[in-house]
This record gives sequence, structure tokens and C-alpha cells, in this order.
Amino acid sequence: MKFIHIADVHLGAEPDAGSAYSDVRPRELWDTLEEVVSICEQEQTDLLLIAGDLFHRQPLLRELKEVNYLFDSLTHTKVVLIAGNHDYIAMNSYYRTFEWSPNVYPLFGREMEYVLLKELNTAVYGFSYYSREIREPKYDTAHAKGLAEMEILLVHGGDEKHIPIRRNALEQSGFDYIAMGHIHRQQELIPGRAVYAGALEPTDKNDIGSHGFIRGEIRDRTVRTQFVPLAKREYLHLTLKVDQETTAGSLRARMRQMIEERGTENLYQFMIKGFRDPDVEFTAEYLKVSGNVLSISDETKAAYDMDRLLEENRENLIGRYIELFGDCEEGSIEQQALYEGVQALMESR
Amino acid sequence: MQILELHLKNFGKFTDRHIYFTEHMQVIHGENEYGKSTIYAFIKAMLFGMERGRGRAAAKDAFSRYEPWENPNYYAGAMRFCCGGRTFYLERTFDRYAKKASLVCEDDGEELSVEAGDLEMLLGGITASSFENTAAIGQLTAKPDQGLAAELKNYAANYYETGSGDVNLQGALDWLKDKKRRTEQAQKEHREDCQKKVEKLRIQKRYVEMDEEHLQEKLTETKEELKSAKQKAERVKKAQDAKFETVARQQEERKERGGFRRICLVIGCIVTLFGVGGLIVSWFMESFGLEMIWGVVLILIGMGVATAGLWRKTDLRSVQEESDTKEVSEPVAFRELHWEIARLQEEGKEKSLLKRNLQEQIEEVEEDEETDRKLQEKIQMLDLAGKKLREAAEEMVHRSGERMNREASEILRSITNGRYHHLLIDEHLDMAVLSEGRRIPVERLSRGTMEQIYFSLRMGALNLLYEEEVPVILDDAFVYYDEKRLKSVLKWLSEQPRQVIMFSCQTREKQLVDSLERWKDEAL
Repeated sequence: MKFIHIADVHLGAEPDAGSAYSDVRPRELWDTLEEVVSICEQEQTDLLLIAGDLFHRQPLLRELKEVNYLFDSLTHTKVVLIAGNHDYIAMNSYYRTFEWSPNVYPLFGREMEYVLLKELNTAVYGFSYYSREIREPKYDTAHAKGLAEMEILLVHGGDEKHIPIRRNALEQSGFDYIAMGHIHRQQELIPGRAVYAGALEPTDKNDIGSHGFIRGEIRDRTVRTQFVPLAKREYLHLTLKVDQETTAGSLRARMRQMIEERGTENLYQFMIKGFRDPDVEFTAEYLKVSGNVLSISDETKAAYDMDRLLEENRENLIGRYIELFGDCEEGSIEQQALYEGVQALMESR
Repeated sequence: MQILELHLKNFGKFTDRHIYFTEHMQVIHGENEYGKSTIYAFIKAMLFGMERGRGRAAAKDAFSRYEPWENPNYYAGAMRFCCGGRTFYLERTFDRYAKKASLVCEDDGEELSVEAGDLEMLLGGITASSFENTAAIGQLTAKPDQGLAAELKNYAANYYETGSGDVNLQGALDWLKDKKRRTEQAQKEHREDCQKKVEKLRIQKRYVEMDEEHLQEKLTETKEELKSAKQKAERVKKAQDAKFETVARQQEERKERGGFRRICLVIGCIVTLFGVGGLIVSWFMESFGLEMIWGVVLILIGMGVATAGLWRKTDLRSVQEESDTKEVSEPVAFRELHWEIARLQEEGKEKSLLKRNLQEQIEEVEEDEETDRKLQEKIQMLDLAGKKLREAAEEMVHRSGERMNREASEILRSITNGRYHHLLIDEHLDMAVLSEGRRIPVERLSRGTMEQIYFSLRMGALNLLYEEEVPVILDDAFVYYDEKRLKSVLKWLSEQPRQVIMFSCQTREKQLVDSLERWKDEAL
């Protein structure tokens, strides 16, 4: 039995993709889902599992129609989905009334339910969110009932406000495969068995790393899974180390090159660290080399040797100022204030 | 430290000019344009180097100002000085291509490295700016919008608060303030951006709401239409029902009196026949009298009775036909209206979902404070820096203020021959002098006295702050001094261990120093 497991597609979201790509980004989420569907068709995948948050908000009817049209085009694949915390089944949700194509099996119950797919010899279990938050550990009691040869659980959650998950409970639940959603970073809770597919496309600027879907196969009660990158873009957080030789111009050139090397389609957040020449200033406007740079945070410190300065200025305000801060934690507000103040004193000498 | 010789190889207007400092207190006398400030700049450039400025500032900086008049590519000088009992020879080339510095100890030939900071060590940590701010003394000059007393107070305040001649508390605070202002500006812009985004979403939401209202109106209208259509149908139906009822009653009656009606018809017919028969008979009997009239009357009655029965029958049929057609057409109209209502409701639901999603989005933009928070943190950090800076300055006043007061008071007492025996600076940095038990605020003092306080502060600071006895350079510092005080100040200076270099455009300093030397020699 071949399956594809996706999660957190967040259709309808408008992710921050910089001035360059923010306009096209919402459409790209749809395009990638379409690609997944066409992969299912091409590979004649038996089962497409969607572990929640297919939509970013309450789906509109026309959006559901569009998704259903995609699923309807599948000649072989059956689709099982649940609603997550973003597309939870609200009072007026269209999930309640929508008529899906016959190959689509929504598990939209409030409590655990299952669908038995006889021709695949598979039972898929799951339930949906009816509110934004569920704090009970509802998966702790989940158990495979032995209804079919292969049993799969759809899970959405895994943090304090969205169904806390105990790894042990899942391990003992008896499912062959647990298709997980909600956490946007691809990861394996139980290697090969309980897997977060991660968001299909990164939808938040903190969704760093590669994104895509899980391709899997269950044969003779053994599961083989593989992560397949598919996302069109990636968010990258890069740190730039500077020293006293670094000028704003050279830093800019370095950033250009880094973007060139890692792909201009990707989205960048830079953090500048290190000790800079006190006379050099790194302004974000100047350094924003292209529209795919989302932010630049300057955490550099003027290159002052505090110990030496203290030694040389024991008798004056500079020394007293440095002493006043004592030992402060690396990266703390105090430390930054120390460097700023010293720079102020040095600059106005 | 003692400067022994200056060799201006090629510097400003000077070419290969040697100046020797033989005296402990040496007056360099020269009229305007003599080159006094060039010599001062040369001393500074030798001790601390001279960097060529970048960009626009370069046009006015010292480097450009003292670029040699002749042969500007050869821009160099040398200095011989004595420090810690050893003599050093310092050579520098300033021009942009051959820039270099060498330092050699002449006693043992040891080569020292200026780059590695050997010269700085000899100077005891004094920097170019602190040298300029303490050891080089000119006249007290006020900023254009400030009185001299205010300037003096600022100067003193800075000493007291920073414990140094080259640290500028107000400057540092202004620097921080400026940075804070720029950060606040960035924050404001960011907030405006967010506001714009929210505004855009709000407008979208407003459009959706308008659509929704419109749909709602249409829905009410359609519902109204359906209602009135239904009412109309009801009325029609009622009327029909009433008709039906009558008809039915009539039918009932007819049923009840069906025989009678038929009898009517039969009788009518019979009567008509009789009438006709009578007429025929009377025709044949050729008796056109009463019988004929009877016959006609009978025919009329008979036809009347028969027609009455027939007319009722058509009436019933027409009523039935009418009601039948209505029963077919009315449900079709209702169904269409029902569909329309369902469609409007569906669309309304879609709009209300959309509206809620937009509202959610607005809230998310408003909640997304990451950038804002970072900027806020930066502002807080700058505030903290400013606060700590003031705190440190206050401590400086407490800690070294007393010493500074003592030191400066002593100098002031010496150079004013005991007239002003105390300089008082309180923690609010208000400044006054004590004279014969009276406290005189500094604002009321003469220019000369203010100059003397300024001198006392600088010298006091120099004594307190720097271990190395750097030479003090006085550039026409005594213009406002009267003869008596000038004598006292020169006497005081001659008793100081540090070297004194005086620039003057007047001759009286030179004469006084010479007489002082003579007086000293005589005393010996």
C-alpha cells in the first residue's frame, strides 16, 4: 500500500515573502498542493493522508470546491483528511455540509473515528478540531482496533495548547503508521512510524529548512518512509560574522553572494554579529540587497576592548561606566547598553 | 616627558626648521602669522600621528591644512624628547604614500614600535583629544549663544562628571539621544506600515460587509416577495376556495336537486315541445288566437327553464378550469424564489466567513509585534545606557569632585595671591569662589578671574588625571591677566615639574619669564 502524507498546507495563508514574492505566495501554496495531487495520480498512490490544517482559516465554499475538484481528478487515490486547529470545524464551517467527491473520506468527528478502506485493507483513524485549542492529551488513549491489515492514525497537534503528545502512548498505540501534522518542521517522533510531514510549503518566516511531503509504503507490516522536498521556496536564517575590517559595502557584497549561492528564490533573514569598526554603521536600508531579504538584525558591537578601556580609564567616567555594568551576560540588553554607552563616550571625545 | 627638539622637515610653511627647547619654561614669541598654531599642530602630529580624513571632512582637516607649501609629497618631521630619564628620537612621514613612523631610544639604540603602542605607553595613556583638552590651554571661548560663565561651568561640570578632560558627557548623552531618536523614527515607520496593512484589510473587510449588507437586503426583499406572493396566492386561493365552495354548494344543491334540475330541463323541453306542438296544431287548425299565444309562451318558458339548467353547468366548468391553471403556475414561482433565497443565504454565509477570516488576519497583523518589540528593546537599551551614564557621572562627582576641588582651589589660590582661596563646585555643579569669607557666584567674576579659574581647573585635572608629566602648551592664554596675576601664574608654572611651552604674540610673557629666571638665578 503506497501512501503520501502531507500536512499544514495552509491554503489561504498570505505568508511574508518579502517585497519580491509576497504577491505570488498565496497562489504557490495551491500550486504545490496541485503538484502533490498530480504526483499521486502519476504514481498511482493508494492513499493521500492530510494531517490537518489544509486551510489556514475557515475554508470558503469556493475554496472547498477547488480542493474537491483536485481530489476528484484522482482516478485511483483515496484521500483521508482531518481538520486541524487552523481550519477547525466552527459553527458555520462548510466542512459540516460540504459534499465531497466519493474518493474523499473526511474524519470530521469530534471524537476518534475511522474509515475502513476494504480494497486497500487499511483502516485510517482520526478526529478533527472543533475549536482553536485542545489541551487534553486526546491521543494518549488512541488504539488500533485491528480492523484491517494496515492501520493508520492521523494526528494533529503536539504542543501544550494543541493536544499534548506523549511519545510512549503513541508507541504503544498499535498503529502501523502515524501521520502527524501541526509542527511545521519535518521530523520523526518515532523513526519510520510517527512522522511529522512538516508544512508542505513554509508559511511563516520562522519555518526554516526544507519542506515537502512524506512518501511511504506499508508492506508486510513494515513501513518505509522517505521525505520528499517539494516546496518552491525556503526561509533561511543566516548569520554574518563581521570584524573590524568589514565595511558596509563588503558586507553587502557578501550578502549578495550568499543569496546567489543559496538561490534567489529563497527568503532570507540575516543576523550580523561580531565586533565592527566603531566608525562603521550597518544600516538595514543599505544592506537590503534584494526583495527576498525579509530582515536584517544588527547585533554587532563596536570593537572596544573593554578590559583595556577599563584599565586605561579607571579614573574617569568611561572606566566608571564600564565598572557600573560589571560582568553582564553575553547578548543581554545590559551588554548592548554597555557597548552603546562606551561608543557614545568614545565618539564624542 | 620633556620635548627637547622639534625638526619640522617639511610641514606647513616650515621647511627644515629646528626648534630647540632648552628651558624648562620656554616662550615662543611671534607676531600674527608667525606659525604658532603650525608648531602646535606639529607637536600634536608627532605625538599622536595624523590621519588623512575621508570624504568631505578631508578638505578642512589638519592633514590638508598643514600639507607643506613646498613639495607636498615630502610631508615629514622629527622630534627628540626625554622620558623617564631616556632620550628618544621620533620620526614621522605623513604623506599618503610613504606614511610611517619610527622611534628609537638614543641611549641604547633600541628600536621601538609606534604601531605596537610603545609611544602610547611612554605618554602614559594620554590621547590626542585629552592632550588637546587638558594640556593645551588657550583662552576660554564661549559658544556663540552662551555666556562665558556658562561655558566655564560646562567645562567644569564635564571635568567633575567625567573625571577627564577628553570625555564629553553631554556629547555622549546627545549621541545616545540622537540614536534613540532614529530608532524611534524607525519604530514609527514600522507602526505606520502595520497600520497601512491593517487599513487595507479593514477596507477589504468593509467591502465584504457591504456585500453582505447588500445580500441581506436582497434576501429580505426576496423573502418579502415570496411572502407577498404567497399571500397573494393565499388570497386568490381563498377567493377560489370561496368560489369553489359556492360552486360546490351549488353542485351539492344540484346534486341534491339534480332530479329537479333534470325535471326542469325535461319539463322545459316538454313545455317547449308542447308550445311547439301547440303552435303546429294551431297552424294546422288555422286558429291563430289564444292557443298560439299559449304556445309561444310555453316555448319561451320551456327554453328558459332548459337554458337555466345548461348555464349553470358552464359556470362550474369555467371555475374549475381557472383554478386548475393557477395550481400549476404558482408552485413554479415559489420554487424559483426559494432557490434565490437559498443562493443568497449561501453567499451570505461565504461573506460572513470571509469577514471573519479578514478580522482574524487584522488581529494577527496587530499582534505581530516582533519587529516592534525589537525596536522597543533597542530604545530601552539606549535609555538604559543614558541612565547608567548619568549615574556614573554622578558617582564621579562624588568620588573625584572633592579631590578636584582641592587641587583646583590650591592652584587658584596661588595664582590669585590668595584672593580667591576656594573654588566650590556643589553636586548640582554650581560654581562659586570664596573670597574673604564671601561666596561669589562665578557669573559675577571678571573675565580675567574666569580665565584663572579655567586655568586652575585644567591644570588641576592634568595633575590629577595623568601620571606622565606631559608638557603644557599655553597659547596666548594670559591675554586677560593683569601684570600681577601673570607674574603669579608664571611663578606657579615655573615651580611645576612639567615642561611649559608658551606661545605669545606679546612680549611681556617673555620679559617676565626672563626676569623670573634672573630672579631664580639670583636667589640661587
